[in-house]
Amino acid sequence: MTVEQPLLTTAPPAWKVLNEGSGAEPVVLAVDFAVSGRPESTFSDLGRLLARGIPLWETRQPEPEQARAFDGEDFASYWVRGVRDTGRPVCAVLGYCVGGLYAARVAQLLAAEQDEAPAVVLFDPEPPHRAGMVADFRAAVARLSSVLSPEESALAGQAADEAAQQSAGIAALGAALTGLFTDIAGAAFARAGLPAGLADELSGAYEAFVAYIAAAAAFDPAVSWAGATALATPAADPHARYARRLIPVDAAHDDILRSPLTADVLTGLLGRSRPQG
Amino acid sequence: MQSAEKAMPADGAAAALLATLTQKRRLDAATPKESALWLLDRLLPEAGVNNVPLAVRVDGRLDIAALQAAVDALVRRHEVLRTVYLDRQAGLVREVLGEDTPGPRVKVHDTVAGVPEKALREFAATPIRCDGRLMLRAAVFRGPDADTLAVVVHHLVFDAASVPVLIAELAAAYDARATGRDLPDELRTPVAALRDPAPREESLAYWRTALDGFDPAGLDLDCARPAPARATLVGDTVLHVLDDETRDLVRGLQRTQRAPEAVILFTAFCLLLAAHGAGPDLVVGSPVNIRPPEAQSAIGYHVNTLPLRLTIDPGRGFRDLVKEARTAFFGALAHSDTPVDAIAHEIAREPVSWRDTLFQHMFNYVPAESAGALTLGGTPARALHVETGFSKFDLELFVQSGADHIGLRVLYCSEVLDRADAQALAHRYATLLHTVAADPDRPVGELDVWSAEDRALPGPGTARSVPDTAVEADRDLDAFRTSPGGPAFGLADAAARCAAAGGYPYVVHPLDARHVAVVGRAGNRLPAGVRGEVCLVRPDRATHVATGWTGSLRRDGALELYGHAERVALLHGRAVHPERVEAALLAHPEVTRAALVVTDGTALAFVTADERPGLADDVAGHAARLLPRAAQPARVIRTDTLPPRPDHGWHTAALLALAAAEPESGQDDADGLVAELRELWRDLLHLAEPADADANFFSLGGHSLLAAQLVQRVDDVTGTRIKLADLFDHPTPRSLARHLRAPRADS
Repeated sequence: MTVEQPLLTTAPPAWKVLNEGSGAEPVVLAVDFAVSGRPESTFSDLGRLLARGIPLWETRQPEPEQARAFDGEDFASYWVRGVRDTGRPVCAVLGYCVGGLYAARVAQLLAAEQDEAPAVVLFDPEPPHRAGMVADFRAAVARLSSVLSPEESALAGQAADEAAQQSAGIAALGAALTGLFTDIAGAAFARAGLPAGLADELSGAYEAFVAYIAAAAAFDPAVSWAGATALATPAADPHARYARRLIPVDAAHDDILRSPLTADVLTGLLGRSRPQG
Repeated sequence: MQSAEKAMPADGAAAALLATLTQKRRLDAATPKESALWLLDRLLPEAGVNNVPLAVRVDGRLDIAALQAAVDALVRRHEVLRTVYLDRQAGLVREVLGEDTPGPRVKVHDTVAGVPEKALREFAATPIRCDGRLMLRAAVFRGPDADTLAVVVHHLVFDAASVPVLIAELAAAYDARATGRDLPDELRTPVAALRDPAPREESLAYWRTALDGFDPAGLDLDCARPAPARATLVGDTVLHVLDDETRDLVRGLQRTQRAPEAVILFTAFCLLLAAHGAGPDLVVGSPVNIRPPEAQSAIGYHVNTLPLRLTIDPGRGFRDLVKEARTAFFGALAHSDTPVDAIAHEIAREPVSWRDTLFQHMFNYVPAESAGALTLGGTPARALHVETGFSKFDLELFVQSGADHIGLRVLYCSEVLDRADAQALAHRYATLLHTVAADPDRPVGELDVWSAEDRALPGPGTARSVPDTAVEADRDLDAFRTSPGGPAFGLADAAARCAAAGGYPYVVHPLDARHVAVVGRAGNRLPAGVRGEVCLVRPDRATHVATGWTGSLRRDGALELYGHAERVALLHGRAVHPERVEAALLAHPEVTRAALVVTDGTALAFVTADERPGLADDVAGHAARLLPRAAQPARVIRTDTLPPRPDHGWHTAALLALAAAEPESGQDDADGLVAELRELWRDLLHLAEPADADANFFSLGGHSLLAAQLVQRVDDVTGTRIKLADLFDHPTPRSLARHLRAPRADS
């Protein structure tokens, strides 16, 4: 007689439980780099709108020292290992923005090991691109406004533009922007007489974010998203049309994960993909 | 797996930015004198209290390009004008910017008025911050047919003596540039900033001895209103020129008393202050130019304010006081290398508010120099006096002594003194000079300082009468209305009605002005606006009966009551009228009655109001906004009724029993904020354990600069940026937590 190991209901370090669910039913995974306090909606917002019985887990980022060396495949494997260790079957993998690329790969890796391939549902998906990365850099520099003059912040933005023009690819741009931010934050904090640790914290956070974004360039949306369903707001990136099925959602891009319309559509999609009985 | 290769940017925006950020800079810690000015900036960030303005009116048009070139040239020449300050966590630091630093841009404003007084004052009052940028601004106000050049410089790098030097150099540079010539050689020679030497140990010892035992709590004037809850330092000026006769008397006194004119005038000023209730142990600040002989025309902050101490013993004559003042004066000059900021914090006392400086009055003796005719580009010009509209002190007397005239400029804080009070003080000062010149040996306690205007006011006159015990017939004199034309009551009754109606001070109207006088400590009758003891004057005018009330007569004949002498409480070393506190509590919308009971130096406030959670804290916060810290009650206790006594007043024993029974509800610290603050107190004050919830930061050794650090730490911990002044108002973990939790209507 074998004693069935109770299925884990607490997630391992790679995943964060947003909704517990009610039992041992298949899990819905969500891939995103959710920085708390960002204006754009998060999967936490979406989780609050879903039925309580649906278990929802969201990606946690690996430690910065690990993430620094990860490429796209490494990120995907890290998260897959995390959920595989729990033994829970996965019925769907969701992805927001750039997370959509990882979501597709995670679903693909998991499909090899379970009976039913998890559905892939994307929310305003987009691949990493230069303009977006420069915009993210400017947003990060804006958080240094207490130690930089307006002229210096503008100069930093200019430096990012130059890096975007000069970098060979997304990975190189990511490395250049990370280096630039780290140098600027370090020098500005030192000039302001503030502890170096504070600058390191800010630089580390930015570096981790850039690593996540840049590594996703390993995946080709035309290939990755061919089997996916994408929910798209009017502001969605054009690459969203690579999804097999495109469902328009009438909401602002920032609100896609907090819109009841989104929750309704997702619930419908999950209802069809969950095993009966 | 890709390893990112980090290349140092060689050119472009990145390189330029990093070069700026990593530039080697020399940052020096500010001196105590500089930090003291900065602290005032931080306490009042919206007020240019440290601004030194100057203006020159030109009967014609200024060449703006030439003016800009002149300004740039002076900034290049004078290192002190390129000195900037930065606000760091550890304190204030000073840096000198490079010679290539361009000067401030001269802004041109079109105005309608010939002399744009309002615009000048606004320009002078706009704060200059310690943010690493230049500490001066320049503008031209273009009127219909005259231009006015205005420059405002922060006191950290400038003072009154710098003004004529800057004007002269600006004029010379402008003249050259306006005619297309090169700058004269002397204007191209760089001038290093003059560094004042640190105080000698011997001077520090002198000052410690000189100020030993001094208590600044006794400096309030009887003609001043009670200090407001939060000072704004708004001020105004009154001018008065001494008539020829008075001027001659002063010159005469100088000869007969064998003392410098400044000492004579200073002693008279102290006498004036003492006659208005300050002292008798007085400290008055006096600024002294400390430039060495070889650097007389240095631009910068080279003035030390020296705390001159003089005790006004009413039994001594003016002659004796002048001798003492002369000794204090010369001792001060011999040790003028010590600014008051270097020793102020050593004088042990509990700072009740950040306004608690060693002195509240200043004396400036300014020998008037005859300035030669001023021209700018050949056009006649004249320097204008510009006020910032602020007064750092309650009263600052400037005596401008010229060859044939002596002028007074009285700068006063309009929060505590009215214009009429300031004018009265100027007239009384002039009168006092006559009085002491006529009789320099008469005990000063017997002298009246009242002016002709004071004596001319209606009422029982200024003749002295003798106190007497009350008799039945005096009840006829005891008649006061609470509103003009209303019924009359006895004073105690009238006061009680005012108390119930709210408003402070209480205002009553004597039925007959001849029967009421406000009497000073020496038994002399006080003029309008000066606080003393309210007395009923008998028809014989020879005797009066004390009522026990402290008050002052208004110029319109009404009587302002501040409180009953029996109830005055000594809180934190200051005399507080409980009536003022009760009026503040009553101003809270939910409070119907209020009583303050003081026991063992602790003030307990009892209020009647409907019960609800958080009421006591709310009322305490309300009181904190209306009252200066010395007057704030230690606890607010809600009760259903206030048990009265038949002869007015409250049943104190019953109230105290209630307070003892009621648990200290302020123990609630659900959000842990008080606990976190107690830890911060410990960190900054280097205590062995977290401080008590009611531990006063300043009593435990915290001083203003540590307070600035605490403000930063509170921001780190709570995310709320409080103002430095908030910490002075709420110096305990418990009260600061309450302040932080309160919904901010004013943020």
